[in-house]
Amino acid sequence: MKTARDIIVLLIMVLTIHGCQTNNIKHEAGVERASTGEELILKGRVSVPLPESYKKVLLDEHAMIISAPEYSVVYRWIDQNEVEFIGSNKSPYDFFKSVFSNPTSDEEKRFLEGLKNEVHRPNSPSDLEFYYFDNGDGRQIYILSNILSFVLEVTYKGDDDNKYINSVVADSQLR
Amino acid sequence: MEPITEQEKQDFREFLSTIYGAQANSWNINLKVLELFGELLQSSESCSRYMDMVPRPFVAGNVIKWASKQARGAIIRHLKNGGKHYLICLRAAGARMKPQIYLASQGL
Repeated sequence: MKTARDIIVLLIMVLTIHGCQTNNIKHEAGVERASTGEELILKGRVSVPLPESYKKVLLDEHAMIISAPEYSVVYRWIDQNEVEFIGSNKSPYDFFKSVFSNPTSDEEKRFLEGLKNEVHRPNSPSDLEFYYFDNGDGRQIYILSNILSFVLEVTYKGDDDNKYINSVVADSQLR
Repeated sequence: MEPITEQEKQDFREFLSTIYGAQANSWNINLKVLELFGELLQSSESCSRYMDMVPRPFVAGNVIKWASKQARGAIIRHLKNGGKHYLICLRAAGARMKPQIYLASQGL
């Protein structure tokens, strides 16, 4: 039963990706792209650019991986249950907003403990908030909105991580 | 490298499931996963009050010698002997490293 449900979810996501391939987003001029303009829509609420080419898509209940020989990207949606498991009773938005701007609780402070690189907050044309850092293997970006019940985490490992993360900041949108 | 046995994989899955929940039970345990786990074990100063650091003979510089079966056995014993609170304390720091460990478990 669960397997059948997973297959249906996978089919819906694949059809969504396929459908979006014929509806390219408008791009601002002068921004270097690492994507084709095709969208990946996660949980029906956040559209992020797909990487230029991919060979494999892996999906489970908690995350999605898109990969090619030269890179891999993990997309994870972090919900209330996961934040509670970490040890906080805040909403995902409030937890990550505090982590990146003014960590107060032990859990918020520990999230970034041991990170060797600083966190950046780029400006974006959308209503979404972005925070990213270099994790040593690549780049990890968190996409926040106070109207979402989850936070989206995108982790890029491989060549051109900067280009892809820039395109996420430039082209991601709430739906 | 001495191959990671099924029992060792099961032990490390249990440690990871304490940090990440039940989804870690399906992760494949390989050397890269162990290296990231070691990085996590050594990353948190605020959690160190729950546990002594990893035994020195099995650390070269700051890196645990995961390729050695003897080192893996020592870490497993070390964590089984009172490491539960330490692992729970690592949940927040572990959350940051989750996508890297998830990718590694997929061989990516």
